[in-house]
Amino acid sequence: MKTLTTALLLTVLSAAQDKPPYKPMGAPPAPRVPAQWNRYHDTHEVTELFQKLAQTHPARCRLESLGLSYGKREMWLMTITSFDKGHPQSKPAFWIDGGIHANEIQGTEVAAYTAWMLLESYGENETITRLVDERAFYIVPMMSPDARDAHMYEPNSTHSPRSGLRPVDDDRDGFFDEDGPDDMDGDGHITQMRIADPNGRWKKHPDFPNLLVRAKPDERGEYTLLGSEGFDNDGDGRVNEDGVGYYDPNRDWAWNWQPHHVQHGAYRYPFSIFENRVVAEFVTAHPNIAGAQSYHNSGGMILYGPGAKDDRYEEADQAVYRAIGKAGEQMLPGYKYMNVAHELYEVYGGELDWFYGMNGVFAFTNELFTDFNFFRRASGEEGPFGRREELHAFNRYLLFEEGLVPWKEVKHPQYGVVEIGGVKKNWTRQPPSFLLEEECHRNMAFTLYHADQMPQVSVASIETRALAGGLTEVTATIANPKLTPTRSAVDVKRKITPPDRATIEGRNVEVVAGMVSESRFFTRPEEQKLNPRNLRIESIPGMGARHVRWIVRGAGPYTVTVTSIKGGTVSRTH
Amino acid sequence: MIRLGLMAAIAAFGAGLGPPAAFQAMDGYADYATFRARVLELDASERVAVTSLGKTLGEREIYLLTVGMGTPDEKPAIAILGSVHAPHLAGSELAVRMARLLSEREELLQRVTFYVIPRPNPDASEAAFRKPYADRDANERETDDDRDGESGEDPPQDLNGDGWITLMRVEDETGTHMPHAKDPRVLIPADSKKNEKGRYVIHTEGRDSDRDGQWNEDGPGGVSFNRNFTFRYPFFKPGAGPHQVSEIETRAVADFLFSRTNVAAVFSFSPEDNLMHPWKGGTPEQDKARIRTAVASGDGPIFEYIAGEYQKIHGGKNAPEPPKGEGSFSEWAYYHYGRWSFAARGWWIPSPEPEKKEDAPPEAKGKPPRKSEDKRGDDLVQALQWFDQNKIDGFVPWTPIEHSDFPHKKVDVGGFKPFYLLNPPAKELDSLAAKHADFAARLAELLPRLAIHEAKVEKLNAGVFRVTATVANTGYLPTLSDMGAATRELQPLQIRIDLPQGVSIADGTARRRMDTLGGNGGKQEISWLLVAQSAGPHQATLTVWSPPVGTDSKTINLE
Repeated sequence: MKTLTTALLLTVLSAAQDKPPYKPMGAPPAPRVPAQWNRYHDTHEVTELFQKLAQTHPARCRLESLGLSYGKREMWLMTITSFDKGHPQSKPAFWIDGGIHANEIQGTEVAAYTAWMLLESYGENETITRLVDERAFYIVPMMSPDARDAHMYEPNSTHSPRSGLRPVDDDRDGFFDEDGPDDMDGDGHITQMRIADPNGRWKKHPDFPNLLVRAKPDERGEYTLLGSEGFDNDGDGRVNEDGVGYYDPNRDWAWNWQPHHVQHGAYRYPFSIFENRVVAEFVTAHPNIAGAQSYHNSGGMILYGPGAKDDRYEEADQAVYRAIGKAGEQMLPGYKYMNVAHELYEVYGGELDWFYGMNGVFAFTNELFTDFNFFRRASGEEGPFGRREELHAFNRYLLFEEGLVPWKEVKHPQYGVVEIGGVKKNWTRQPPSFLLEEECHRNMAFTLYHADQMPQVSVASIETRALAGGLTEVTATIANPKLTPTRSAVDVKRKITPPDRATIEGRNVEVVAGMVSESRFFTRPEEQKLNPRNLRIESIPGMGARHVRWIVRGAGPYTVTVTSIKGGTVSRTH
Repeated sequence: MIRLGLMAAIAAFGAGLGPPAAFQAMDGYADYATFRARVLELDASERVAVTSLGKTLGEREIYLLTVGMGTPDEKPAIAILGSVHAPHLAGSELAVRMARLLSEREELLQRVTFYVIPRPNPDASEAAFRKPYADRDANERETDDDRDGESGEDPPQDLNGDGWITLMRVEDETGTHMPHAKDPRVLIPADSKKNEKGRYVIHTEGRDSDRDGQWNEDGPGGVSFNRNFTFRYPFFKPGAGPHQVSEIETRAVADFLFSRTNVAAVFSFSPEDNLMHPWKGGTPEQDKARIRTAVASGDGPIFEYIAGEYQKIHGGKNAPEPPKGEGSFSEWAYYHYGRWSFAARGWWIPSPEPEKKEDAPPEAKGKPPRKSEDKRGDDLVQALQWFDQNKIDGFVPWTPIEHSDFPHKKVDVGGFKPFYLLNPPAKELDSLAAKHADFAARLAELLPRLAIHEAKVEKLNAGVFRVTATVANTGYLPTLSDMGAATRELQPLQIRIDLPQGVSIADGTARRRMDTLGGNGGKQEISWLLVAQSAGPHQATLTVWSPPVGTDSKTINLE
């Protein structure tokens, strides 16, 4: 009887194994490299995942290190593309990075999820397959790997460390990082300090006693707030004034860079932070990069530059930004397409401005996670963290109070008996487990949309017309059926990358003259006197075309080849 | 790659084998090998330590000479840079000599350290020792100066084979330049509004190798040290590099200076002269700008005073106008590094004294002449006269050549030789070095001098004391410049009281931050309330310090 049951069970199981698993829409149900997207990965785990992906998908993925961080961790860069369908540098490429502010921890997860999805859905999903064939993706999941581990394993708050770990004498007293916050109760979370004080101006929230709110103007308070958990370590009378770091890796980029007295967080000079320098050198050496995405948190923003009010993006490029950004608002409910300088705050030397201003690349920064996700409604509060009541209600009803450290008394060397408590380091900026996977997927979807809208040149048509004296007029239309131009307006203006080129080849074909026209009717063509076989085209606009014409001697067939650094290379013979 | 390999081969030749005298643009100047030997020779002095801040693409060392005694990094310091603009060869020559002269001043070195970086861009400096001699300020990075996608594809050529890259003038009635009335060898721009007609189009000597209609717009290398710094950086301009502080040389120097918190002032040899043409202070309104581009109003008079001291020591007059220093080292040193920054050209072709108008009515003195005189090219005419008087071969006479780019036109090659307008005959270097060493010593004398001027102990009651320290600056310079304070690059003054066991502070902390003390008597009082648990006698020590200013301490008795 027992044997029979076992046999029966095995039959049922093997029948189930013969059939493909029931697939939810979205991630592959049986990936070759298993991964879990409702948790956060530390530096070691991201490294392992990327190494496994590289081993499992060698035809579409390569992993390299750009160098060692300050703390001797590898700066991983993954290249994803179908290597059998062209060299990565011959394809339009998309840049993705995460975690430059390491405490903004889910940026790394989105970047890693994207790598995993591109590789594991290849051959399963037609769009993803096409993208991996046509485009190259360069992904740096951890821009600041030292600080990522510090955030996870050292006492910190949700806001720290934003800096990398190079010591800086923040208070210029000759000592470095000597007075940071202190984890007074040893729980790994840097929370807040308060002291009971009838003359204080803060009181408990009537519905959420762990939340402090300001007393009304004519109301007596209960507490005085004393800042972050910590004491005066260096005996200068100030508390927590020189912690780990401080420099801001996202104020270290060359375009419109300003020193730290102008832009808080700037280090010594652009790319004085080695982790950024190796990235910048890679990007500069790969001018086929046409789009870029950085992941930060938080607040639900799709940010575009300029970062400073004294800077300005080219009119034509703004239209491209807007078209992509507005599409993103639909894919990312609760997210807003926003300008950094005019709608957030001024940033000199931000990464996205460098991508645009010095590389001519359309770049976005997404501020991941929004309070909209608490109860799927706008909280009505501007700013990155939303209304505190919503946060505390979410904590009560969905997190079962796990998001907070309850206030408790501790002895403080300078202040006497104080209370410490408040939000944990892994809450407020970061989505909880059950929202993380959705955050990863939706942001990836926006980024893949942008990647798909990178330029892609084609020779749409070639026509010939016989002229007198045995000459032939060959006219070709070079099209770009994507939103992004082959060279952004800023690229053309600053001559960042060389122009696109159209050449004509053919047996015994002698080129007599050549010209380029914006209009298909060649109303005002520009003749290229020098080397007309190889015509220079400034840029092929998004969803548009340029027209080239040669007057040649010699019979066809004629092969027209278009070479665009950011738009790919194609040939067509007529 | 081939080009780089060739350069490395030439560098190796220069470093070890070549007789320098036969291969140089100006007699008596040191090529890298000679320079290196001189620098290493100085290492023998116990007051000079020679180290390298890095190795360039051309495999040359960026030497640092630390001139000091005892613990040099713990004393206020002046950084001295030689040729930040590589064709300014004199800078490197003078800086090495200054290091030697300053190392002989024992009394000075007890108080102040000099960090001397004589040749910060040695690869570019070597262009003066390699034919064809060209006015080149670039290191050996490959660059695409005309941003056409190719690097170094249209270099100048020595068409007349004289070893020099000078100019070409192409006779053309649509030309932009015309001969100077006083000396036709000098060409000046024609002003069409004054109905002047140009006779020549001017190009650098060479062919349009890439046939793009521009001549010699993308030569060998590179990035200019003096255009690679962060203040007013010239984005996308030739010589500026891919971004600010992108080069081995600039990064090495900037990182070194940032690592030395004791640097109080920077002196550099540079055409951006602010000692003969002192920087003027901006307005108080400009002091409020978020991005500072004007000298702080409070610093202006100090720049003028120190420039006056320099002029007294130097004795020269009528120095040429300095160029606009976009991305320059000396401006960076003030605006972003936050230090007093002085730049000297050091030498220029002397001009005859302007006629003294002693009979002029007193109210006319100091006013600009009513009618602006036409002075276009006068400095060059005068340079030719001075060359003639001193038998200096600094000019290549215009000589016709055949030029395939201009088949039916009259083309002459000629013009000023590179280096000769900027650098003195080598025989003048020793006396110039002595003057500049005197100035560096004078600058050291003008640094702030910190002292605990007075330390008062008041007994308020049994076991209760008030200690009041008066800290004063008796030097000329304030303890921080206004720009130094604004940049927050330097450590402010701090004071500390060290107490014996059983004595505690009743009013705050032992260590405190102080205000900036103005020059010539700026002072501040700091007091502590102390409570002694036991009867004395107790001793306490007061220490005041800041790395670029110095330190002082005093022991007091609590009684």
